[in-house]
Amino acid sequence: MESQARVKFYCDEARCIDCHGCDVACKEAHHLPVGINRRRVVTLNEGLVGKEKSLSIACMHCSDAPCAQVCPVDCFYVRADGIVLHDKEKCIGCGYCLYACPFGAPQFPKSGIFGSRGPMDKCTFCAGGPEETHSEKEYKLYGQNRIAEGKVPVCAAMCSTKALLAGDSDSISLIIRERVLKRGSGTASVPYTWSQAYKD
Amino acid sequence: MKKPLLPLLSLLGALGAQASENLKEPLDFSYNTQIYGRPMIEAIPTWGSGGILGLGEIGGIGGSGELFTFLQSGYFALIFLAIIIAIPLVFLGHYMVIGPKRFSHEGKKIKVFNTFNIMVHWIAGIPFVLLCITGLLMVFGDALGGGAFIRFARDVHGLATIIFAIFGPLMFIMWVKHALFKMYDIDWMLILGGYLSKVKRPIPAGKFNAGQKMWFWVCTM
Repeated sequence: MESQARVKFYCDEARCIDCHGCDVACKEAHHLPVGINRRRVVTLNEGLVGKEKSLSIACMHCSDAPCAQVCPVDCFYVRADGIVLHDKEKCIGCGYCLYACPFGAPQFPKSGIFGSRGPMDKCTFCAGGPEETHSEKEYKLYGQNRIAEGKVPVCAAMCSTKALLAGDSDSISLIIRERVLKRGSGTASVPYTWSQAYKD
Repeated sequence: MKKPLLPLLSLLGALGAQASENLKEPLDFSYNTQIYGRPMIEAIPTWGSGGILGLGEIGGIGGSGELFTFLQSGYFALIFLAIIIAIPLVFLGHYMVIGPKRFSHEGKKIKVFNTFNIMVHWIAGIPFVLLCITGLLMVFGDALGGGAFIRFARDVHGLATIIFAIFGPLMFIMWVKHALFKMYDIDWMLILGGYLSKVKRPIPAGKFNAGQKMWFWVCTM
């Protein structure tokens, strides 16, 4: 049933060293304005020596994405490979998707003279948007389209410890299984990010 | 509950450090047993815009994101659709069954409300109508294609909210005393203000009748 290819993000908390390489790479690659963070690193148990763990979080490209369900103008669309994208020209910046999102992924740049919320911005899995692939308009609105070039998202490509993985779910699951076996730890439970995003 | 235990736990942790190293546990769950649970998501600090209200809330206010998703995904638009279809139908039905009632507009005009009342009513009323129209535009934004027009509706909605937030409550305070329930409201309810017949008779009322009072409570609440 789950055999069809479906992209996923995975962050290995045993490997993430809180270097922020992923979010800096993302900002740089897509020329994101100040205050817009498509990806960011969260640190848990902060300040507790030896207990700190970091995770990199962005839009998880959920199945049955809550954002797409609540959008009043239906600006979201889900690609066959599971990537959740949206049309910025349709988006009215109402912020409903941020209410619905369990990961706090939607970002709202300020726009207009009153500084009201502009059209939403979020991680595209480096797959651009509804505009023509590699067109200037697509680049301006959504950033790079690395998927069309056959590359993985820039955050995962940049990750120095390969904590952050991006790709089809079967390959990622295989890597996680291998790592857990080599580490000899029995904590290969499904992370919340996965159970929440992909209903695994 | 857990806080006083922390020093004790860390002491035990230091003693048991040798043992836990052998376990090669990638993550120590003793401090956050629900690291893969909701608390992990709640640990997400404010980022970007700082949330809808500028408070940095994630997943809706007080974690109501799931409920909101459920309601917004299938119910809100349906409820509004039912309202905008049903209300005109009720009016049409009333017109068809009972028909119009004509009153003479001859005679001396009496000024019931002072200028202040009239001004407040207008300044609250205009944004109220704007809120209704732009709100409906947004609710049915998917059918209208979204984009710049609906974004404009959203901006108007936001501005109208500010004005209504000032003059709406002002209107409420101004008239709340007159809109409280009085005994003659029962008489009005018994004949439903005379709306269900063509007979003309005096309407039991003080400053307002029961119909106006109901409308007052619906509009201000």
